[in-house]
Amino acid sequence: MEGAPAVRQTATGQNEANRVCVRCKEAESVTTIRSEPLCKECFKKYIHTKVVKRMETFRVRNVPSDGQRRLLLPLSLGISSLTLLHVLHLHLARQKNRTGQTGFDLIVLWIDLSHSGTQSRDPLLDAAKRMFPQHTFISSSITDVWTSVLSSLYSQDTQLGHDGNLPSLPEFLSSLPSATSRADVSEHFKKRLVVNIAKHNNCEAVLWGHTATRLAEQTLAETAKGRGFSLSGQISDGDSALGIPFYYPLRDLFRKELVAHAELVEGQLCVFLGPNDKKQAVSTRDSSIDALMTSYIDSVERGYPSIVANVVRTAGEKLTKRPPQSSNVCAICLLPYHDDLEPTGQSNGNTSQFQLCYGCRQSVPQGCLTGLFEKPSISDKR
Amino acid sequence: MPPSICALCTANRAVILRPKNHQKLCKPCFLITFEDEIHETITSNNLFRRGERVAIGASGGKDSTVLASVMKTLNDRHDYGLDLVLLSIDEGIKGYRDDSLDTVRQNARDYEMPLMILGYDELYGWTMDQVVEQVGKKGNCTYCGVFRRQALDRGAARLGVQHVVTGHNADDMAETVMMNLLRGDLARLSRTTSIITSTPSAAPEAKAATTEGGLPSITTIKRSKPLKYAYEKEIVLYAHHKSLLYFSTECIYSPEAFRGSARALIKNLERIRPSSIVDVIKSGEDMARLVPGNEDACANDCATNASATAAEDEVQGCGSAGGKSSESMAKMEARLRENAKAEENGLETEITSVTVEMNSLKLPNGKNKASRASDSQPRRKKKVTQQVMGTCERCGYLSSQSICKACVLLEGLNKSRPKAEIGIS
Repeated sequence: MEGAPAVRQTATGQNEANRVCVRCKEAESVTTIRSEPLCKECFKKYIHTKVVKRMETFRVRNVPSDGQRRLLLPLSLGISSLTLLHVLHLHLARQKNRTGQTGFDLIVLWIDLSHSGTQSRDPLLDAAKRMFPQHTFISSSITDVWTSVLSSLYSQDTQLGHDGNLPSLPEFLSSLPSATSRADVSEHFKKRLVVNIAKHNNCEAVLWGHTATRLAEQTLAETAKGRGFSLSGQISDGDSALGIPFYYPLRDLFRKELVAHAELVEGQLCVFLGPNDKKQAVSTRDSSIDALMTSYIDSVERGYPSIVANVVRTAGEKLTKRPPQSSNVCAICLLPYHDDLEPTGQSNGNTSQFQLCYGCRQSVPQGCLTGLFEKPSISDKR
Repeated sequence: MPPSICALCTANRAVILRPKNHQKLCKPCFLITFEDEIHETITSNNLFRRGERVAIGASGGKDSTVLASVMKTLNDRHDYGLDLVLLSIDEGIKGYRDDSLDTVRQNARDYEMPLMILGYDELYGWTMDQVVEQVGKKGNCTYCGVFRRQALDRGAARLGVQHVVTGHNADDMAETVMMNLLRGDLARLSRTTSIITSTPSAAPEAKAATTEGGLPSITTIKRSKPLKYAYEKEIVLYAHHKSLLYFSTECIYSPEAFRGSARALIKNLERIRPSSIVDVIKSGEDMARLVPGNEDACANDCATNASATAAEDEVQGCGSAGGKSSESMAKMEARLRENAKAEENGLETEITSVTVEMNSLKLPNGKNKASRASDSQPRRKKKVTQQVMGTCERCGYLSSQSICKACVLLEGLNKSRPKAEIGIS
């Protein structure tokens, strides 16, 4: 992209000019990655290798004889998911070149997060489609998940009124008590929708664009929101707690490395660099736990990137994904959970007539659900 | 605006906004609620049995002062039938411990409890001031932490007590969960979330073991944390409204980076959503069950099942257990980087970042040797090493190694001391 700085101050703060790449020992380095000066070409290779290494399950030789494997890639149009799409696109092209076939087909999903119901068009989506015309793009709206959530709730409590006066998703979200609750529930709704669509489209797995940075944020945030029970089932590669395998091919890369990759190597990706890829300061009462963790991990990563990577490794690979003995499935986030009590003596009144996991009970107080469903049809007006 | 009315008694004027859930309460209702919740923690976890002699680890700080006060109140109110004593450890830090010990003495008079003060110099021949002189300000928290853990148990044994309660609060617990997650130390994470550590039931044979004087041996001391779910802010409020006398100071030697970082994070979390302190603890308890090797042990009741825990790895208010845990963030970063590099170059990775070690408490029945032998075998990356509990060859303290951490540290310290005085006759 025009105007992108040629020489970047890296995380280590060193100036990159005039150092030779440690890998090819020829070209001049453009950046320092994990304390190694790398040239443009080697940096590109570095990114690609890290991603492709995570995709070994989907090699050409593993393609079943009776058909092509389909993988869903949810595209937020942020730099992470776009980079993933870009790298996999080149990976598929290489496979095709070498063997005449590919290991899998990509279905790219874009979710409209506006609650308008009518599909709004994102100019970035058009840009992405133009950039990757070979892949199937599908769209959905976050409001689509609401029907599924409502039916989960109804199936649990038949006492609920069906008088046609159903609460809408925005109504529900705005009834939640805090920014944390709204961010938490929205995040889980998004995931739920992606899983629904993947299953509906016969996709074998979901390829998430989460980087190590993002996974570490999620690890700490879910811990802070009381969902430690489901961590490994959410962030590890392979079978997930949501009934379809998840893969995180960018799990070995930091967000800032993808930003540098876009700025220094793949200029065309720079349009997808959003304000979220820059630093943001959070520490007000109104911010959410997710936002707090974003800024916390950002600060740790600047000094201690390996510690961030280690958090992800610990939570994702070292905890067992033990299926809970009870078959409770949370009506909000769909995670299977143990029906155990609050920590002793800590009942804070957040019990629920619905089957909600501990985390969702914290985010969605009982009143928010009953209040919406028991909306009186005649008496007091809203 | 009319004055708020207490949400519980609906009679008095509310003067307290409960930090835990933002409930508006009057002073008597707050005090009783605070005490009731601790009573609930005690009864639902079966922390005590009738007639038990219990030592309260007392530092003179807010947590242990409130713990002593609440323990006395509940013991009288609910007739626990406990024989309570105060136990203080004097680390020998001038300007820090001297004054707080005066507070403990005052508490002992106020609550009419016997008090025992035990010094590091008596126990180890070193005061912390001397240790710092020797090893410098960096890393001395390791010594203090390791020494203190044993000191409480040794003091308890001297008092003829088999159970020590400590003032670890919910904030401490949440901090420890986050800290161990940041450190990637799942084994310690799973151990430290338990409300009871080192139960006698986990070592039934040792239960009968007593020292020559008929006092319990130090391997049978049980530890528990009745304030595990009590918020630090509420502890301060309770102390304030009960006009409890406590001594408030930070240790003059610096805290660790990891804990400092986790502490700041927990404070921010509490500001955003007060329940998150308990939620973090809940997550920690649930994750403990998912640590490989722990699944069965905690299938039924994780909170009271302490078979996978040992006093060796207590959560600590300041410097945490020795070895790896005292490693600074920068050091750990460097170590992880080297591991990553080694892995990339295809070198051996057996001493990688974090070897998950399970601390399964077993009887000291001679199997230790076998397990130690297998310890020295090269470890594969994800292998879970079962630690077997034994006792230290030198001091008899509970240890997974042949020589406990305190004795190892002491050996290092003593090496530098002249064996005999040099003088001119």
